[in-house]
Amino acid sequence: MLHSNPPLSGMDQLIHKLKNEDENYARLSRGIQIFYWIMAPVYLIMVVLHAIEGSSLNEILGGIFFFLAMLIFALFFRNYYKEYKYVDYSQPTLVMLKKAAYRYKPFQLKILWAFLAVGFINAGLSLSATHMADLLEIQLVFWSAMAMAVLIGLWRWKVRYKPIRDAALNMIREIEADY
Amino acid sequence: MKKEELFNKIVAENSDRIRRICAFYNANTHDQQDMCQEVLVNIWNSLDNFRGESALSTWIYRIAVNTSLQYTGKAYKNMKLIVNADTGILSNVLDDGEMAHKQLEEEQFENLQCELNMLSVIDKALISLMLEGLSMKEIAEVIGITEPNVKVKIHRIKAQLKIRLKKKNYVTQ
Repeated sequence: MLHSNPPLSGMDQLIHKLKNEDENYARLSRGIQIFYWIMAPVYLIMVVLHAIEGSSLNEILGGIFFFLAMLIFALFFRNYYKEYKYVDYSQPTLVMLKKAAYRYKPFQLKILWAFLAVGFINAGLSLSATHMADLLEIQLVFWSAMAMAVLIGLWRWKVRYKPIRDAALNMIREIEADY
Repeated sequence: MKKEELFNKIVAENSDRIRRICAFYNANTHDQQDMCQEVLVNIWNSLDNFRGESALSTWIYRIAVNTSLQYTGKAYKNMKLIVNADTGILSNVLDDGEMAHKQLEEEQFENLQCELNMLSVIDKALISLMLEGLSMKEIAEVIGITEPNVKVKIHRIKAQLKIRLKKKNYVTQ
């Protein structure tokens, strides 16, 4: 056993790397949020301009739906990055494992907000369609793209996150077994 | 105190602890260093959440053990618990000074090492904390279960180890 506290190797480089990662993360997180926080008012201004110009009700409503979608995405991503910034390893093991099992669930309640935003985008696009044929084409392309996105997401979850969730659930079962 | 200063202070005061925990899970120096780095990264990332509600040592052990679960998760089945041949430490595991003394014999020590590695990941984590000299209360705080529950688990692990070792001794004699 060691009886002194010699410095751990590579500490200086590590601190430098950690600080860089913190800064990169903060920059990326800010960038994504700024995008949505810019787009939301842009759509709001467009709605106001459409209303002033006397555009059709469909165009105004479409703009409102896009505005709402951007607003929800902005809030959703702000919450998401706050929550998922880092896993807190200083919690008791059982708590950390339960949070990990929840984090890697394929469907969580909060995803409903993202679906609501997607629904608003669909409504915005649909209202911009002038003919029934356009509307059908929009719906076909939109829902095909959504189905594809969900399938890719599920495949990615199964390959990357399901084994982690299964391991976490097994460990939770084991820790709680002797209660 | 700045984050960097606090981090340096915590790491300087606890480098032995971190090193020992990492050594429990990795046989070679390279893997130990990799895990140490991972623990340091997680200390840095968790530093903003440190409120001083638990003892600093408990906080460090939580991060080290939780990292080991995560870290070894990458090679879940290959996870090993490495103990040294310190008689005092072994008597902690076996609750039997005489038997622990015998374990110094190479073959029996290897048996113990082998049996320890048959334990589940959680049992290994519990044993590693016990080998670190933590009390049942401290282990309970690290894992997040009650003290009586820790006692039950440790008792069960020790009983299993004793039975298996005795069985092996009987077979070889």
